[in-house]
Amino acid sequence: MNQSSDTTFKPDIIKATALKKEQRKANLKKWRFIIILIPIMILLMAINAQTGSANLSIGDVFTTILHKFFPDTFASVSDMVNKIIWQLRLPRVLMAMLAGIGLAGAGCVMQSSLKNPLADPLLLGISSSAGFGATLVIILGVGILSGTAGIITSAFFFAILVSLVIIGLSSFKGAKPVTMLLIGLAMTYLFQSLTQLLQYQSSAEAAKASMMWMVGDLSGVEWSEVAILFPIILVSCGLLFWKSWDLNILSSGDETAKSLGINVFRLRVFLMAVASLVTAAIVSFIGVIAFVGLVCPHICRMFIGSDNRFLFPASCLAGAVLLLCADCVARTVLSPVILPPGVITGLLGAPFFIQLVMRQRRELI
Amino acid sequence: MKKYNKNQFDKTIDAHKKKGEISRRHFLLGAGSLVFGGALGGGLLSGCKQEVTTQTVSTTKTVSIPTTVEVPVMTTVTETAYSTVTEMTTETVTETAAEVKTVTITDAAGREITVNLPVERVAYLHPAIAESLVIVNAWDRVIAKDNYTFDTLIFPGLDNMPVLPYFESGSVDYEKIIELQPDVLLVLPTAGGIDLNEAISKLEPEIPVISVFDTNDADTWSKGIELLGAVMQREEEAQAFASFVQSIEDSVTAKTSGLVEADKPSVLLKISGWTIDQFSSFSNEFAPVKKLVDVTGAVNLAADLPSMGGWVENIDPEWLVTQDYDYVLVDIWESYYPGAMGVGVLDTSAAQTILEDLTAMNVFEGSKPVIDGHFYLMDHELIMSIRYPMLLAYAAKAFHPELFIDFDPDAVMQDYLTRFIRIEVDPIESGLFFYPKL
Amino acid sequence: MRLNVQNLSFGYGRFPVLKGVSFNIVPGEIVCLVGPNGSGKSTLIRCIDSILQPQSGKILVNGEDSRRIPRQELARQMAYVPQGIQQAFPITVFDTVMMGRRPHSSWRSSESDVNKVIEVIQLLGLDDIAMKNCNELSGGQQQRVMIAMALAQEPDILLLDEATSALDICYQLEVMETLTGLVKERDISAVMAIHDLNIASRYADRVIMLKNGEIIMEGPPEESFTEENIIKVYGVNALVKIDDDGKPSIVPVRRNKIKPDLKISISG
Repeated sequence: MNQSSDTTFKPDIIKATALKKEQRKANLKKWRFIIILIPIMILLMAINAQTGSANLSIGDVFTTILHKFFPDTFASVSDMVNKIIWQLRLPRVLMAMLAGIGLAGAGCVMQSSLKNPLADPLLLGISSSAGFGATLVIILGVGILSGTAGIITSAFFFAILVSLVIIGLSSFKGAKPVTMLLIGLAMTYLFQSLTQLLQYQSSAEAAKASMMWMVGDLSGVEWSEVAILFPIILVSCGLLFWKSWDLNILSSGDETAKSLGINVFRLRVFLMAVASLVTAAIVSFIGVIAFVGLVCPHICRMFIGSDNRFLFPASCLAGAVLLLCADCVARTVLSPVILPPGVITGLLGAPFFIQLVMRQRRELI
Repeated sequence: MKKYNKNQFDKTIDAHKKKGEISRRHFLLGAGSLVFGGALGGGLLSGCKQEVTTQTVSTTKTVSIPTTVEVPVMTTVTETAYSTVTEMTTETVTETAAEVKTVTITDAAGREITVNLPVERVAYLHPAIAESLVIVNAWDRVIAKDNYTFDTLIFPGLDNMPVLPYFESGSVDYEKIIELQPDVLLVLPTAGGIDLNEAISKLEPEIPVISVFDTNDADTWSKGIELLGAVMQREEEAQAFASFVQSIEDSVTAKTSGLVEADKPSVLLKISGWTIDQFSSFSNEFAPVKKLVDVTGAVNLAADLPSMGGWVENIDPEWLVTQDYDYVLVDIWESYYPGAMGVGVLDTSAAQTILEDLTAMNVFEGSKPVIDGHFYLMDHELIMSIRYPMLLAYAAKAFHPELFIDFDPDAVMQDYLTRFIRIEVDPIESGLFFYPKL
Repeated sequence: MRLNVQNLSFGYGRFPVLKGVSFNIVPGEIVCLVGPNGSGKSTLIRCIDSILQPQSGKILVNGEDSRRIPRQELARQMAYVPQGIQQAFPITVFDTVMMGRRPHSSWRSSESDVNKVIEVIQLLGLDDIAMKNCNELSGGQQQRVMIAMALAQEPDILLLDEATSALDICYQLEVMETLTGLVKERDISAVMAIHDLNIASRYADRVIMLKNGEIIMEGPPEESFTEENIIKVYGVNALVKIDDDGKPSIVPVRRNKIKPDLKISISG
């Protein structure tokens, strides 16, 4: 501060340039983190495409993949390898990537917009209501509302319904974070109880099935499912990324946000609705994969801070990386028996996360 | 003594209790659950020591066959014991001064129980027991049904019966049981909802709690029927069922015993997973499946896969693609495919749709079983209930059609339904249990 | 820019906080709102910035009803400095100040935004801590960050809610002088809720004394800060001395024996 009673302010050009440089360097560091995650993710996808119960050579795997695009240059290895790569491995790999991106992205947005580090995309009753929708069909399903398609549809319907109910109810109170969290918590318990009530009256197998449905599982992923989820994730994440600066403002307090010209109510409802949609879509296809959405944003925060313009894309990529890692482990540990990746994410992620928390010197929250 | 190892039994129960929910099928995984509950179960066991091998101590005269007194009913390991049913029963019917007849049996949980005869009022807690009571023709003595028994065709008089609301994921209403005052309570402790020790402490000695089946044993169904025969004094019916089961096995093994390994087809049992997408199966560690392939002359594709007590939770589909196998038997589970198969189901269109959906799955598409038409659906009840012997008949004919040209599994099922379930159904219309029809 | 507050009333539930408050603000003017705790200073500021919706009365910005002005447009005309930072997840000082550019930018900040932010950061002497996270700062530093954010907004009216209360006397004076300088230089205006009567006296062009949601006195400091008015508003006996520059300085002596609040409540 170099001015006193002299009211005209003279900026210090040297210091300003230094500051600008420093800021640019900081942003560059954040970009670097994000950009490093991309090859890691692609590498993991390649590893996942390469590993599996069937022992295929790297050459076979890549020839088969390239054969699809350049059938003239690359000869097909065999129908069997073709089937393994194109129908079994690749949809699963892509689904793991999409689900990781969606869950971690939704987690990042929910934490910031609800101003709560414990917020999780599965919060707000989304997982329990999807579980209820699935249970309803597993236990009482008849006609068109039975089988895989019925379960997925019903799960998605209930997840979206509950998100809308929560957003609608909390709107009466101005969509305040605490109101949303509390109503979401109540919804979680409500649908858990409803599910248990159904399970209580049903045969043990059906009860167990509905419970197991909740454990995230990438088995039997098909291209059609990837095709549905891909545009949902792409558009939603695009929208969320577009609003990521406003998200910073939103997490700086509703008053500040309002005075900066943000329609806090509309923005929060929008963000929550999009994040819920992503979560509901993922949960209805592959069940509940916990931990990814909660922890990936925190892991990234430790490296690049809480600026959502960087944090959001970083979280998405970290989510994909974590889920791809988990799926790789899930498919190889007991091969040819597959473990549910939803279990592995916690097993892999928790120790890593705790180690980061303990090493962290800066207070982030 | 391996099969009826008391320790294993109790541990399993405990393991399930610990997990908070119990399922009929899950019990079948028996040993697998030990992983979770083993330590706890071990501690619990020491409290209820069991002298399985000790001789029945009876102060009164023994009227049953004396040669096998030492062998309690559920400890026999002989597979061929079915022809000599009475020999394996350690029942000691006694008469006291007050002329009260009693029978002492060793139940599936390895407990020695003395029951006053005659048993006129029966309560049970599991639908499999309901069907077994029909088999020994004692359904008319049932005074209360469980809340999973629905079929009024098989179980007459259901509508006017009080319900014992037991939930497989919940607890038993002991108050209601005590109020109803049954002579015995029949349970399947390894299935859901029942804590055997709790039931014993709440109900005994007034109401004996008898464990009828051990679902982890392929032979358990017949043994449970024999046990019921003794308690209900329906030895004839029980014996008839045992001979029926034995005759099925005999007629199958007569033709399959000569098969060399090369003649045995490789079979994938696709058991309904907890989710539809799962490729679940059983390894040979699960005794009923080992018996299935042994008797019918086949090889289990999942025989040696890592499992939890025989339960193979989720097979990697790409592994299946690389495997060379001949048959697929798919377990069709009511919960996922309601009304597709079972007693009285005549319309095969639902089954046909399922078959088409399954064979079109990318894992199976173009595989040997699909091309050869060796892809079958089986009713869940065949592998998971007292109807298991009929599975042997169906599977044997499916695996070796040339050996079983004159053998009609549908007739065997028909025989079962008319002779033991005592329902009048048209031979052709008894239902859909195996699809496509053999 | 002219600001007219007309007959403004606001209440939380059934408890009235503001009861028909009216006043005007003209460009180049610093107006200080003073009054005891709970007199409605903060509420008034938040009503002016449309953070709270008044139950009756209006706020005219250059003659136009503020309710008809779009939020983002309003944010280019008014900036609000809250009592403290409430970031759920702390971000750096630079990024916080950058948020003040939001009303002027689209979804991303531009190069000129960066230059403006750096200018404001230097203006408030935040250079050395610009890359630090806000939660690592002292209370005073946080207040300066919030003021910087408001200045980055380039508003015509600055609304400050106890924005200097956590600063030490040196920074308090410096910030006040920076603000006064900006107000005069850019011909903007500032409305600040403030506790320190001496600061208000030294820098305010006009003082509005609030009590129980009503304006008790409005006028230049030398007219407002009289011993009688201070007894009336605060219930405190004070010595008011006119300094050499004509500004009153206030030294509180003791509580008045007759509590003004108590008297009202007894008579009421």
